[in-house]
Amino acid sequence: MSEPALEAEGRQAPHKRLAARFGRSESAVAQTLIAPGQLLLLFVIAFPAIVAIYISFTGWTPESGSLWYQAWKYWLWFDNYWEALSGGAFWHAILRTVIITVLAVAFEFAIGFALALLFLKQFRGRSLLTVVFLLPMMVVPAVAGFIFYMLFQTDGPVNAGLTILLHDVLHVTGGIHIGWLTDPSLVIYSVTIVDIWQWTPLMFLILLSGLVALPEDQLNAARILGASYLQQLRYLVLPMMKPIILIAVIIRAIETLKLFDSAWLLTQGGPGDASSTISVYLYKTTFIATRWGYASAVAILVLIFVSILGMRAIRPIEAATRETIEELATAEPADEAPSLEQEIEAGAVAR
Amino acid sequence: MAQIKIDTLTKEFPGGVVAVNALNLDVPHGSFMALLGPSGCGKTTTMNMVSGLEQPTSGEIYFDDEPITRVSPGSRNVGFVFQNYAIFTHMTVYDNIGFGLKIRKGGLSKAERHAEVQRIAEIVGLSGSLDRKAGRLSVNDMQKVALGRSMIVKPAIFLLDEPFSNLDAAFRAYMRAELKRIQHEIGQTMVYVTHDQVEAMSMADRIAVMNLGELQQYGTPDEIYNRPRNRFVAGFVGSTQMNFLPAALAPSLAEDGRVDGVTLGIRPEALDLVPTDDPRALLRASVVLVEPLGPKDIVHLEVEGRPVRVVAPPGRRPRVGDNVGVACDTKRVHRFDDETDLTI
Amino acid sequence: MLRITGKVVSIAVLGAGFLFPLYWILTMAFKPQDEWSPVGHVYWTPQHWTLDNFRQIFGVAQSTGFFTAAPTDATGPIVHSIVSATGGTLLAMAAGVFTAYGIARFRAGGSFLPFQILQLRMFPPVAIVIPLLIMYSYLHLVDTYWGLILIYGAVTFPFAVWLMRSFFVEVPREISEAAIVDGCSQWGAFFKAVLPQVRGGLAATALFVFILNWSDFLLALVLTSNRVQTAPVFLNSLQSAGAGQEYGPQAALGLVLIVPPAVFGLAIQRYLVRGLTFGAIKR
Repeated sequence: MSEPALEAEGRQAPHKRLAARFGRSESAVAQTLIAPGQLLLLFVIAFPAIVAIYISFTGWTPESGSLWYQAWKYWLWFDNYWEALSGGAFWHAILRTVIITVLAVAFEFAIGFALALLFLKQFRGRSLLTVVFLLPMMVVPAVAGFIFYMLFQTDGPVNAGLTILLHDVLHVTGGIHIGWLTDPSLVIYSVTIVDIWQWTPLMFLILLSGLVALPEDQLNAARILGASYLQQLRYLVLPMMKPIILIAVIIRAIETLKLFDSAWLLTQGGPGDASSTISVYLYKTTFIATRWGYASAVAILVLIFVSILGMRAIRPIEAATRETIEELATAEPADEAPSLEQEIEAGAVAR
Repeated sequence: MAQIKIDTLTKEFPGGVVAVNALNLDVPHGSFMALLGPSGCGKTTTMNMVSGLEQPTSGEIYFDDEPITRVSPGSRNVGFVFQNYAIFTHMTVYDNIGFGLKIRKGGLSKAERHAEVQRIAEIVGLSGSLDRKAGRLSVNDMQKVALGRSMIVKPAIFLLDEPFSNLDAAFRAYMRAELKRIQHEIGQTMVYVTHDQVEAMSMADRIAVMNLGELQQYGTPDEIYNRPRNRFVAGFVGSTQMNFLPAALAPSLAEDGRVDGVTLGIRPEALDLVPTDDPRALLRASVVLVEPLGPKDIVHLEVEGRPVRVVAPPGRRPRVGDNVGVACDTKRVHRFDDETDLTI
Repeated sequence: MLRITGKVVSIAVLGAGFLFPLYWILTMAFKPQDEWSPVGHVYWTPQHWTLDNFRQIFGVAQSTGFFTAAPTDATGPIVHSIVSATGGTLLAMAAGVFTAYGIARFRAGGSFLPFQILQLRMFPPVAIVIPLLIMYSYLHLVDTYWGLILIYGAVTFPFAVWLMRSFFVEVPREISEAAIVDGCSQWGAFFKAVLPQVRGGLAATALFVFILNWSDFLLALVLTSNRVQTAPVFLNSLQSAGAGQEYGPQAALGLVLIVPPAVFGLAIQRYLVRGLTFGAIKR
């Protein structure tokens, strides 16, 4: 508080006057502050949601000749929803997306954690090397898709490199001609690889910041007690990093579920639908099949699906953020220390 | 239960800082040794080298005549209690104490471990708190967990780094007594690092006083207190600091008539306040401050511009500004060479 | 000793793996046409370095017998990217900074608003594409700068809020209280006392949001056609034309696209973790 101002006030209870001033203006200011944001959200969420729900009950397409609010002419009730939920395409897309997400996040975590452990102790050139490992994250996802499009060509560098390694050097196999982009059973994994390449650096960064914050004394104590490196990891490092790991994994999973850009540049969801993530599937339904009614239903289903997931995910994130603050800070004594007499008594009884 | 021998141990950090310089120490089997010194004297670094957390630049450490300098900390069978306890806050008290046993390969069965944890918990007084999360304990209880956790693996040597400095005063005194008792009972070799000379004096069988990486003196509390080897030790040990005066001020106390380049050291308890005309008064002083402590007074005097402290019985309390004479027990005077700081 | 060699080898292998794709696009951008994808052969480094690809995308190609299946002049799309990304950033920051302050200082919107905003991030943009298109054609915003700026601002608004909130929370209350005691209104306190404290955070958030907008592909794909087509969309169009084998110019364009995020990203390295975890983890 500014001393001269308070003294200048002079009269009784200066803090009361301040409180009054704050109280009156605060809520007004607060409302004004969040107003532009609310407007933006309204525009992006509320209106589109209503429109989408309306159209999802119809078989309207933009090519039908009528304007959108006349979509009631093509009313279908729940047909679109039924088709989505009972048909294969929708569920397959969801399944594909989940597989990609689980694999990608798992590998990103594993590699990212290994990297973080390697980078934990200071060594020469560490800052420079960190930059190197950060670069993939900065690449525009669409461009990343394009890069791997080039790399995964059947006669492209990945196959060529594998051929050199396995054929020329190790003499294990013949020439390698894996159809990364053409084999329907492989395409999902190609998409996954792109995501892993792009986002492992993020995991690495997050996990490294967690590792660096670990209390060194506890780890030393474990060492002296005889804990091996692996035991330290298992009993100390991983449990203490749980909140951070949780946050990183959940955030990455959320983003990967929405995967579109790199997948589109890589395969356009093909061959056929073999690598169509849910976003790609939605896109194709909207713009290639132009079935806007059906696409809207799928979109609504996706929104519902995501909202449920979101609500389940919020709680761990909230808890984790709180826990991180609690655990990583020095533990505060929770209750009062017993009196000296109680201590001695307890000791005497124990003996 | 092991004997420690430290041989010419040196630790130099990059940048030229020599934290420990050619240290030689012998800690007999089963004794309680205190490493005493001010901050930065090298005591914690020495401890870290004994535990294995740090590697010395040169020198060797032996446990029972086995060189262990290159052995990893986990294999040295030492116990270590950190200043801030470093207990595993995310585990329960039970898991903390039992940790050392749990990670041992081919160790005890689960039931045997359980029994051991219970036993240790009783010894340190935590039997009722085994299920509590270690991070939520009071500071005193955390200390007990740290002790129990180290004790359970029955280490040959116990290292403690200022373990009681965060406790409240009453509990600290209690823990000191407890620790000494336990050590005596089990016959455990203990090395105890502290900057508190009262602690060292009251607990240790031997004290190693260090300053700026060098060993100043190694001996029993009695030797350290009554026969300090140099000025640093003399000044560092003793609740009320020793008085240092140039010999010129009291030439009758000088030995062999040597007055130049000699500093006298006299403990406040060896001085007495007498009337200025008393024949025993060697110095004349004026009273600057009187600190009444209950069983005794600490009287701060000024002698020719220099501060002198005297411990006086509470009865005859002088007033500030009084002129008094200072008498001295001539048998308890230490003399230090000004150049080398060594006792003459 | 073994440990250190193991460490070095692992880092080297991983580093090579992560760098190789970047190496590939870098070298591809400088390769002449006959080295792009010769059948049965791979050019690991360019035999003949050339700037032709860059000339192509910047529209200054001389006739070099260069065969292209589609126009490769990307200057227009690059400009469109710059304008829309910048505009979207300004919009997101404008709305986001105020909202963040409201949340940080006054807990505006209660305890739900922050997580509502988080939930926003979870929706795949594709899901709102149809109504968006409808709305946009109604408002004549399709294929316009404003159309893009509006949606970019809306979509990156949550990031701006969460990042700025984490910065505002670090400013002690006393600073604005002192300003108010000195006679400022709440607004005055905000602009004169609090905002200067978070200058670094503002810059970092703006750059971060810019990177996000710059990287957008789907929204631009849907909402633009030929007037304000952004660079990533243009890249994609080169992909479908010419059977997707226009590697040279595509790589050159890709490189150009990578540069701003790379530069900005490295500049705000310290804040990346904070930004990408919605302020939950501060380094």
